[in-house]
Amino acid sequence: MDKQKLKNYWSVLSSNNLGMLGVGILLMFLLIALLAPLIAPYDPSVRVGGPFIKPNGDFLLGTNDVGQDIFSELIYGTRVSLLIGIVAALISIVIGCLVGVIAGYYGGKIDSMLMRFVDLILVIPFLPLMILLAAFIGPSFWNIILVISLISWASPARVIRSQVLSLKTKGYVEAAKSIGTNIRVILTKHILPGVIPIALSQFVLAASHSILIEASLSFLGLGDPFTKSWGTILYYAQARGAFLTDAWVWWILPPGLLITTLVIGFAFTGYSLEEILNPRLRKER
Amino acid sequence: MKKPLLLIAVSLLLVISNLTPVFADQKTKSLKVGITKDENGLNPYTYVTGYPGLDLVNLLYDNMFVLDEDNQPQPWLVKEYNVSEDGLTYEFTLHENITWHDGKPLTTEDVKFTMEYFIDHPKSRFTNPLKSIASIDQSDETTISLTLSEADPNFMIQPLADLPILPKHIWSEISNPDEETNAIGSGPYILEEHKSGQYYKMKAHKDYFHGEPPIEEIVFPIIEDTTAMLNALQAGEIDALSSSISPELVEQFESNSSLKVARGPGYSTTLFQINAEKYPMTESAFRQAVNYAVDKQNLVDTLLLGYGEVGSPGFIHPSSTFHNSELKPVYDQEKAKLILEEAGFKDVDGDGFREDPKGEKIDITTLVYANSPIRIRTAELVSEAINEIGIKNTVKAMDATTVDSLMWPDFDVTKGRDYDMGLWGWSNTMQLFPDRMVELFHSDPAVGSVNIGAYKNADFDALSEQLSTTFKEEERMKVIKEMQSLVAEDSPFITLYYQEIVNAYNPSVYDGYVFQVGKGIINKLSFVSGEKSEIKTSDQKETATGDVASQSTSGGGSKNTLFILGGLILIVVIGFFFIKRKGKSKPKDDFDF
Amino acid sequence: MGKFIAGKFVQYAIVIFLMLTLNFLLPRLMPGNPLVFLAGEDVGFMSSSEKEAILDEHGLNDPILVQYGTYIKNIATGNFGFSYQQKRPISDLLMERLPWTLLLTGLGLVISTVIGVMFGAISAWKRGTKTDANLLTVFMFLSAMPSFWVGMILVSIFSAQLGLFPVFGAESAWSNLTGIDRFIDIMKHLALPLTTLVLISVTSTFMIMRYSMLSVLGEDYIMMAKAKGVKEKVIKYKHAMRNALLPVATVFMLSLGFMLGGATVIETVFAYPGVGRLMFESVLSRDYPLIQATFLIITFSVVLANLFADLIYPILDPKVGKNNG
Repeated sequence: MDKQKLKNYWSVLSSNNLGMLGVGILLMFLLIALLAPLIAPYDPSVRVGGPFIKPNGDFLLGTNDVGQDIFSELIYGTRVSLLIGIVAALISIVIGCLVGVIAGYYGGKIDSMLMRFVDLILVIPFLPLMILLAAFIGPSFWNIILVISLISWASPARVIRSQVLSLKTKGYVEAAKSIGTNIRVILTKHILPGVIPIALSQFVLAASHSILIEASLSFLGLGDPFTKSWGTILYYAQARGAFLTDAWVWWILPPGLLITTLVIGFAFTGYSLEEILNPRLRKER
Repeated sequence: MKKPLLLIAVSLLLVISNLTPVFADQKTKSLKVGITKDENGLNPYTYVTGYPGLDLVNLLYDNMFVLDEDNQPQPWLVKEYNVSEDGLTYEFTLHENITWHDGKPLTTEDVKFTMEYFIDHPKSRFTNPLKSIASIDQSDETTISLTLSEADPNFMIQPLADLPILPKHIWSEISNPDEETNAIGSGPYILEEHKSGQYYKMKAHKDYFHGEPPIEEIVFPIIEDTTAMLNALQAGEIDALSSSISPELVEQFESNSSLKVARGPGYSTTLFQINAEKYPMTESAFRQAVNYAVDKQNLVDTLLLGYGEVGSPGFIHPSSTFHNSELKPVYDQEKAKLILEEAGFKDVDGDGFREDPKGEKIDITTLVYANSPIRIRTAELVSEAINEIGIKNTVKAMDATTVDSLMWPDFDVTKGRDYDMGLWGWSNTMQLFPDRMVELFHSDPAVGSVNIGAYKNADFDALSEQLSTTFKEEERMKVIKEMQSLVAEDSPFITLYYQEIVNAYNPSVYDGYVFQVGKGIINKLSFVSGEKSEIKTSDQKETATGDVASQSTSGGGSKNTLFILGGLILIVVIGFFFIKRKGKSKPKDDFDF
Repeated sequence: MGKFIAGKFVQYAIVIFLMLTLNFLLPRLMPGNPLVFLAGEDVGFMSSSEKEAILDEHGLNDPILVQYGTYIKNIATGNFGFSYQQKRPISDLLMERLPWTLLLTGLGLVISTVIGVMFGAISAWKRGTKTDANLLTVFMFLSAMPSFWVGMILVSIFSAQLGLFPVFGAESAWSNLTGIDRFIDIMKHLALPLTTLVLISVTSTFMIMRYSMLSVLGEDYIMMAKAKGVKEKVIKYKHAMRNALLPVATVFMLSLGFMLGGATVIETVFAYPGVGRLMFESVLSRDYPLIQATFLIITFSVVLANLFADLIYPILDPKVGKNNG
């Protein structure tokens, strides 16, 4: 991708309020995740007080069921939730790109076979399979990521394939092909630059989905109980009756709000990226 | 000046009403008791769980005897009985006016039929205890005598206080009992309706031989989600529930003026199971060190908030008459380390964890059910303690069925096992029958049918043999106490704690519950009429006055929450406006969607 | 055209067959067997011959291929068998749960589609204005919230604190309400789960409608109509909205297929007796026949909806039929 184009994207993105807000939110969370040890007052895995302490000067959001500081858990939880979102999305986008580009570029039998497979994945009821897989391979951090990405690569693959198809019909690809240009060159010079922006917006959307899915799986008790993600914090909170007592205000609202904010950060960014990349939707100036 | 007077008057009234025993003529029209699972057809062949499933079955059927609040068998269908010196012959006379739900009389013929039927159509829980019966002699409609092939000290409890008597005129036609749906018995209530996954509805059996039941209609709504269930109790949608209230909520429920909380010892045991077949857990010293490393009191304080009892090293609950009171829980990290040092477990390579005497690394995995938050936390704390004495240990949470398949493959100890250590629990029957210790620890899998740790100790086996030929209560007690000392010394597993049972119910709807030790308020005696001793709630007077006082505070509490919530919403809204403002300060055109 | 449909049939038949096989294999690949659920809590005190007898009775000791054969045969004859845990015919279980699930997801789908279409159209029509920005922000915010969290907060406020709605179940079945009272009772139970479902699912319709409306508004004939001075209302409703609804209709039809699967998470939060919850429990309890049955009807209805959408789409939009035929 040449610099001019990049600059161009950036200028559109930066003129887009929602996009800026989204990027801002993401940067904020990234900062929190990186600086977690500096921000968090305690080590979230150490029992620093009695169980079920209400918020006070020492513990901003009280302590959880074994006496760990909830505020510190949330700060460190940013790392986990962000990581799950990004890694799961990355894996599904890489698979999605591979399938999409191969199907789109080669067409014919390969294309129709791959697309049948994608159809199959898309038709499979999503949550049931997720539950079955999570129960089957057992709850652990990497398994959750695996489960999420196994399921969510199909829809990006489709989007990317259609992008490749439309790129292929563009004159210069045909031309390059006809003069016998190396496939690798065609791919890297002509196809990929057109695919990457789409992949990027798909990635951002996939990340926001992954975070929500992880939270839901954790809520259903299928997450990894030893990983301190926001979803797991919510799981313990609801399992230990926080919804029935005043504790829900400091133990359940905050992680839910954090999830919402992070997801919306991704969603805004992704939405704006899509707007930028899909000029038909862009307002004529 | 008037107010304090009123307060005193009200509290006095409450005290009095609390102390007044419940009379049979105080009829409750309708009672709703929440249960957590669908229990299928409520007959002895199709119910699902031992608690509360079997207790619901026992509202529809009757037993010869019934367990009272201290788990002692008392005659029920039986009016008079006589046991021979040698413990081999039992003679019973039944009450005369017992009728089935369909109006036909219940006679000794039904009793005989039931015992034979369960032998022909096995259902382990009921069939196994019947195997000691050599002959049944039914002399007339109300008298029957049983001869045993060998004396059975638990015979009164199981089968007599456990086996539901089936109506011969119905079951003699039934060849496939596992798919039978009828639930016609002789019990105090008649099953009126069962909507799968939703509720059971029972109505009073007016001609019940023990007097008309105190409640006209009991509905058991099925609410699988515990939070929803407790919510429903607080909202007054149900009047009682079968499950125990989790520790963190006890205070809240105690301060609720419309609810009463009954607490008592629970007999289900949470323990740290050790696979004594796998090195280094084979070493007695190693197991002892693990035992010394774990602070059980801390577990009870942190995880159960004190609503529980520290595990006795001999497994038997301290409130059981068979408990060996000389045994005290141990906790001493230094001693644990010392034991390991002496046994040759030393950290030779300096990585902070001990190696075995041959210098091989030790790396142990502890399994735990993924669906049980308190157990997961327990596993975490125990694992922490074990790591502290220098033994490398990680906790792994897995789906319950998967954990079972590793620790107890096919529920058959002869099939071996594939784990190091794990969080485990046994239900209350283990404590009700202390001689089940034999099944827990005997080295022969045919006898030690639940010895999932493959523990082997010739001394224990010898004690087991001794127990099987001992019939005098005191001597049996002595043997069982000896077994406990042996287990305490050798630590085949570590008994961590017994969680207390905490039941909450709405006393204004019905207040005739009986708290059965180790089980709680959902039992037959709670729902039949008759003299009942008052349930032991924390402290009568205190609760009564506390009730009045707490009314305002609990109301305030929920209001506070709403205020906080309102505040938060306000903040979010303001935040949004702020963002929007910022957007607006730029030219409007910039909104490029 | 005919070839296209035939091709689709074959394709979906393969999907169904693959799903059937996956349905059969996955639960059996999971560690642990359903013995404890078949035999109840006494399992620890049973002799091994008793256990074997139980497994035999349910055909679980047969070779895996024999089991597979029986399974396919049963499904072909519409015999779902008995649930291991609930020991009742699965068809009964499904029949009890399906109406509630359909009520919840069906109403949810209709309401969220109506709201989504309405606001999507408004948003697109007012593109670039504050209204558009606000709507977009609100709807994106809704979709960013975890569904169980929304549900639990609604329960906390409206049921636990204010006592306005019941906290569990689909109706107070035991109270024998009839007529209008029963209807009100059912609606009260439905209110919160339905609200949650609509809140979290409305955004996708909104987005699709907005996109599609935007692109329709950019089409030549709308421009032309505008230029000709056709009234705004006429353009908006007669031309733009009707054409923009096409993608929404497709998504609506596809969503119909997912209805039967229920909403596991929401059903769990509100203890609502739906199919989603049933499926979740069946997985946890290794209830093979129940897992297979719930998965089967879910897959089947999804595939059916896809096929339906494929068939109906050319009728709605003649352009597509030509392209593919």
